Amino acid sequence: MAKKREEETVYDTNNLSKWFAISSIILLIAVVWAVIEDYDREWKNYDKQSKKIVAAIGEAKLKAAEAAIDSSKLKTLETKLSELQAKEEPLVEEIDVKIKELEDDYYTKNQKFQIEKAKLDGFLFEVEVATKKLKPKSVEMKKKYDEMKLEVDKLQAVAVAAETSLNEAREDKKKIQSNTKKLSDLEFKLTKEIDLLKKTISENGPNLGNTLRNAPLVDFVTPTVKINQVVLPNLLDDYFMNKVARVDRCITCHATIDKEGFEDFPQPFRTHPKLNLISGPDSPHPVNMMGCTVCHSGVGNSVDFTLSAHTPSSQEQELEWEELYGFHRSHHIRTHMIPVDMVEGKCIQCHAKQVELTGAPTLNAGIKLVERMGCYGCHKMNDHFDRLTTEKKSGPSLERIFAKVEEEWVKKWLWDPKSFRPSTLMPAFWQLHNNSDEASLARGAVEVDSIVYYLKKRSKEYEPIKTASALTGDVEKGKALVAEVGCLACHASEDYKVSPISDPTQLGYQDPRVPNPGPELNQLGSKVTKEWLTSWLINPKHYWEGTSMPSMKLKAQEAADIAAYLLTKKNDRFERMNAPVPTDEVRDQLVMDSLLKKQSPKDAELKIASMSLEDKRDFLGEQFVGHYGCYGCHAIEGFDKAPKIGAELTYEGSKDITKFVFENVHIDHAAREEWIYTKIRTPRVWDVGKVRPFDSKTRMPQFNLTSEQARAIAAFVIGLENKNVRDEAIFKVDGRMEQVIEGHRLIHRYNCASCHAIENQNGHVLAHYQDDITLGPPNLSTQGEKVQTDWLHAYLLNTDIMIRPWLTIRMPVFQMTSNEATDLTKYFAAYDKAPYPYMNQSHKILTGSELAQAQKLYVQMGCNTCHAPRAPGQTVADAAPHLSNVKARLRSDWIVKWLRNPSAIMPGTRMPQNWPQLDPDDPHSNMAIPGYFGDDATAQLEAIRNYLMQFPGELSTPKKPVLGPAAR
Amino acid sequence: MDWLNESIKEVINFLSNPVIYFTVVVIAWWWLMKFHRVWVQPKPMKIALIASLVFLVWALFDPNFNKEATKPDNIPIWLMSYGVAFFFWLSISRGAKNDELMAAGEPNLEKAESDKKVYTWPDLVYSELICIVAFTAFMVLWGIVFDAPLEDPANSGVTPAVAKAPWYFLGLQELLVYYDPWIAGVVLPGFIVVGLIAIPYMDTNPKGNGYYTVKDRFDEIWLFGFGFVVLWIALIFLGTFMRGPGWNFFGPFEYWDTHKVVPMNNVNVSEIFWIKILGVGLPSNILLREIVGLVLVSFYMGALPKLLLKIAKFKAIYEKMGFVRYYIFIVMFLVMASLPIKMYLRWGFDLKYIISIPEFMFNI
Repeated sequence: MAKKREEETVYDTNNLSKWFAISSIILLIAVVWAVIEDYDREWKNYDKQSKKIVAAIGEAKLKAAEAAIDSSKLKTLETKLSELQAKEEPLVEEIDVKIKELEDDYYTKNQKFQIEKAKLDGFLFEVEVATKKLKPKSVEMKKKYDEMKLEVDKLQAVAVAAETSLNEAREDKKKIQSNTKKLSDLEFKLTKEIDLLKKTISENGPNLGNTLRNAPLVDFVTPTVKINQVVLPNLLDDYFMNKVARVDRCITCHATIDKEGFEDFPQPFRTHPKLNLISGPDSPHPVNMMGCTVCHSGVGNSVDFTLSAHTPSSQEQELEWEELYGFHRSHHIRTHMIPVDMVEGKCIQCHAKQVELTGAPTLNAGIKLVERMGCYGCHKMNDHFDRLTTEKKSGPSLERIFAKVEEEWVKKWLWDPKSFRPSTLMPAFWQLHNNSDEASLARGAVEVDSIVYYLKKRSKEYEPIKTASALTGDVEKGKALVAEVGCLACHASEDYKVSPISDPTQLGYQDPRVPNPGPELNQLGSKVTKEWLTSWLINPKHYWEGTSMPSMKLKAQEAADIAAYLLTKKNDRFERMNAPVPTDEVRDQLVMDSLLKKQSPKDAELKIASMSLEDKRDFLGEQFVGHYGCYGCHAIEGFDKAPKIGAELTYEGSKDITKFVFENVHIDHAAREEWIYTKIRTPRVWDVGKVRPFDSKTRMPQFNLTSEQARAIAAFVIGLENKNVRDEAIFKVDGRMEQVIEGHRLIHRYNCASCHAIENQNGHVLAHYQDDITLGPPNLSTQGEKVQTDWLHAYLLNTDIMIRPWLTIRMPVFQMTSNEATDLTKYFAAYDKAPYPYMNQSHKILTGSELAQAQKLYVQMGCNTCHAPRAPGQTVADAAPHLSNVKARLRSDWIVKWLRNPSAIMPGTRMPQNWPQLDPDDPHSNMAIPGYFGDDATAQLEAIRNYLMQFPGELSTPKKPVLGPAAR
Repeated sequence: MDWLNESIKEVINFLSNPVIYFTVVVIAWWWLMKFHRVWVQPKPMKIALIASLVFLVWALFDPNFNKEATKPDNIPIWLMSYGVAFFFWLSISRGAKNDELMAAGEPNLEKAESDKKVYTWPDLVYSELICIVAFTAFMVLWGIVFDAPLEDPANSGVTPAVAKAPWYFLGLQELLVYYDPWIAGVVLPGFIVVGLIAIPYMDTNPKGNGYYTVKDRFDEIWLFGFGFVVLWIALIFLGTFMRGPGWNFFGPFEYWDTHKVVPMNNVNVSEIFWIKILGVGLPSNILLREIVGLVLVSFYMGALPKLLLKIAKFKAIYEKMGFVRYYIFIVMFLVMASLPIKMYLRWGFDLKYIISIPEFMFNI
């Protein structure tokens, strides 16, 4: 460029070059920055780190494995192998040549056949067309076709023959190599683990190949650091217009979630805490089939910490994340991860039919809470609760309520139930967030008064059982009886405080979140009369047919003692309280407001003028029973068929987040579960700061829940989801499972699990029998395998049969229906996978010398020492069930199992292991008692079993139990 | 201090209510044009720039302001606002300088440059290359620093709390508040396009070619700038930063509450005339019902062009343009002027429509 021209240009070239340089450098920096940004992505770093960890652990394992391998053995194997191979070589070579020849032969013949066959097929089409068109030459063509077919068949036969000889030659080769194959298989077995580890290391470890593949700018070709994902065709993502298969990429960062050995690593590398249940390759829910978001929710296809919608479990964690990952709660995400303590709720998506799930204590607690708190009285939820609605209301019937308590008591109770009984399940309706102002209180007084009037007007007469009402009770005896007979299974008492044990494997386990089904026994003196209470104790169903409270087989005097004790418990503060006083003006106003909804002002005036005070109270009572939905939990006359008043919760867990109204409550506005939790914990808080007419105010009552309880219920509700799981993936409930589920429902209803150990969980009553577990309620583990179905059914219907007469705690009379007893019987059988109904099993009738031997063995072993009828002087410590009813009660196969090792079935039993186990790992390695049945332990066990199954006669006379006369 | 802070914010929130905001912008436009010689000096401009930056920094401390101002979607609005201000200042200041020079009989600023030769290389190609490189770098950096502003997954069942048009259409969307969609969405944009095409045919002023000037083209600049800066840019700014959920107005320091309730008691001219003034019900005959509106609109579009000729300025324009050009110009002018007029009628009298014939979906 000539200098002269430069001077003539508009812009100075040097200046332009300077700007060009500057802008080019900026562009370069921008590009480099972009490459760095791409290379340094969050998930890439996690993937790299996890690969490093996996490789390092692999190296350590490899070293251990190499050290563990027997190198001399390997070497001899290798030399043997090479020797053999050398021997075989000429033979193999020879046959290889033959195989090659045969292959060529087959190829040629087969091709000839294939070509002719194709031609034939083509011709067949022409023949068929000609035939269809009724062409004259079709007959001739058919003839020609048949001829061709014959030719082709011949060719086929030739090809098949060639193939057969080829296969034969190949088999021959295998035969020749069979010895070497065996050896190399052995070698492979030996080195398999090492090879696998080496492969893992080369895939994950830092080596040149991997480094190059992952280098910046070339890492788009075939990197090892890449997004890992699980495609889940059975899980659907709802994109509103379309549902598509879900993709979870969580394992990109949580790469070791399903691998053992990473339990102590920091997140995201930590192994899943329930590996055997969730995510593990051998668990029922492996990660490559289930993904992660099905339970945890969140955005599975994101690999960004914030955008994948992690949810911190505490304020501190949130702050920590903000600092570490720049975390924030994005409000554009509709499905955040569910807090860890609520994840179990999501099990329901696939396990909707079950009411008790192993490994999901929170969900189980949630379901029980919903049952006992009676949420289903107002809200439609799932099938279980739909059935429960028709079967049982959660609160007591109010049809005879005024035969039990005073009007004044009911008013005070309604006004503030917790002030009477701190642990009550009855929620509060008044004096809450949205009705504690003066006008609302005045209104509340009228509401309470009207409801009580309405109930009283309809309360039926009741004549209590009088057998014990005149007896004088002994308070101390009563106090002892409460613990002895088993009241504490369902009721708490301040005199018998037990700190709950939250380890399910321990005696006395009780989930602290699950409330007792019965009320605490600390205030009854301020509530009921002796007359009513003794009657109730003797037979609860006499007063209320639908109660779950069983009869405890109390004698009249026992009932009087217990009543005397219970009535000493009073709530003085409550007794001093006054019921709210209604005013006429407010009442008239409420009647007027109500009338105006349906009538013109003129008609309403006329109507109100014609109403007496009683009419008004009754009119309003009906209004408010309906408004507050009292009938959801209590049987109330006139409301038998009234619909549930609460919102339907069938799909609450997947309800769109925009449909939750957060009002002035400061919680995360993107979190359904927080809303649900807040709603359960403080139902009326949404009205705070809002001006609303009475009818629009929230009416859900304030339940008496701890934060853990509310979270357990929220976990359940969160799991009530719209179907985003395809039917194929949903847990299949087969016939056996159905019976187990039926059983669980009944166990919930009758609270069996609070006394008995069922499904490896100890009832909490057992906490009182820590010293000698044999004095507590029997362990029902293996019950299905153990008892005969007919016997169990009969027993459940008539618990008068005494098996363990030394027990003071009583098996109550549940007065269940025969169907329920059948269901429970089926449940036990189904749970243990035992046949239902029971039919005689493998025992046989002993005769002659066998019988004599068995008898002798029975005597020598001293079975009668404990199992005989209770002789005078025999202590409780020696007692054991009578053997006379074994043949009618026990399944014969189980007896053998039991005799082999009793404490494996019932830990803590006094039954000794008469045939000691030789090998602790082999339950069948019992030591024989010398001198009987050829010293064969199994033969001895079976002989004793057979002897018991044909037990000669009356060994004992079971004591007739005593049952309150009224109960009969 | 807090109290002061809060009260300043309250005052600003109040001042940015659309009525005041728009009035201030209109007055500012009038003032900027009239006194352009004052503010084109570097010093007042620097003061204005620094003041606006200080204000911004102070305002960014407010969480509500910060939230909207720093959204990645809204960055173009800031670029646009400062960009328009800068180029407006550049052209006007050079124009003012030229006016001075030319008044003194000296050659204008562009004269010296336009005498030189402009080569393809390096003057054109090299500078274009630099622009390409610089702009690419800018785009790459923007891409790195700001993520694409994604929102909720699209859901046909849920309308976003505020459905906003792309930022460059927010001015038009603001018109929807005042006009029937048919007019605001079809007729007015049509007029804008046709009007822009027609400008070269209507503008017969030969001055200002190849150099900046204000004096020689004052009316043209005033009119075009009013349409562009006041009715387009200022409304985009309003639409971006001060229209929240429900297209409700929110001050710059106000929280965008989805549940804000604003009374809307707008009435039609026919209702004002028949019910408010005459105290009778609406006539059932449509034409009779809308008679006042029809008369008003006919007067505005039919009689006003003629009547305006009584004003000396319009008379002068008419004489310069001739009959056809004048009428095309005046129709365009009146349509543009109808916009602020309708806005003030809405604010002042809660006027909904001048002519309202929903039976035929015809509302003005």
